[in-house]
Amino acid sequence: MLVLTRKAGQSILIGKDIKIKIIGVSGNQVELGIEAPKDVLILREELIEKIKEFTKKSSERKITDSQIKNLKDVADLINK
Amino acid sequence: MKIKTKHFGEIEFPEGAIIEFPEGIIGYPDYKRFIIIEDKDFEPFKYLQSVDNPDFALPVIDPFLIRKDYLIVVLSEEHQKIGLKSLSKEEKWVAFCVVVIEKDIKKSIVNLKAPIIINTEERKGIQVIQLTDDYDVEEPLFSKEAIEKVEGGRR
Repeated sequence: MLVLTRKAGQSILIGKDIKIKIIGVSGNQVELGIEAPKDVLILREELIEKIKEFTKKSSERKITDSQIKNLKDVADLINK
Repeated sequence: MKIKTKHFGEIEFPEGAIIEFPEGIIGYPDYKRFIIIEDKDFEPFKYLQSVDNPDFALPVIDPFLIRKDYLIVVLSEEHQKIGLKSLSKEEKWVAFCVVVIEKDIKKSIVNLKAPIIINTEERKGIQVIQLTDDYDVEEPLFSKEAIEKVEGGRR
């Protein structure tokens, strides 16, 4: 991993189109400003972890026979 | 093709039923082939069954059933990866959101933040992330108010 040291107000450039600016630092928090083309996806990494966890949990459960009996409730809610 | 699944036992399906996910799904990049399992027993839910890992199946729901005003906004490049020019009504696609089934099934939770879009003509799929704050990963399938209304009406 490339590691750079920057001061508040300074920036780094990634390729021609992406600029990341250090807006400010306070305690253990860093505020970043990002300029990038619209089609570049910018995410907090935790979001991916959260989605992955959710999907894993989903895959571990199954609609049981007793739940199938209650699906009418779900249909009622949908048709509202 | 035959696979022995954890949830549905041995199932057989034509190769043509397979939906290719070029990038896999989020967190599972190696799961590139899925089939949709439908059964009127568990409507309105369906399952996305992985072909690559027969133990892996996800209960899903059409998000437009549970949120009439649901809106999918993706980066321009993303739907092109599955051969869709746009997400307009003229294009042939469907959307599913992954559900975590809870004991009381109507109180299950649904990932509205990362819908799965499938091009039904080319049979290709992708999971996309919605940038809006309007939707979260763990959303209730139905609002508390709606549940109370249905339960109240029965008393």
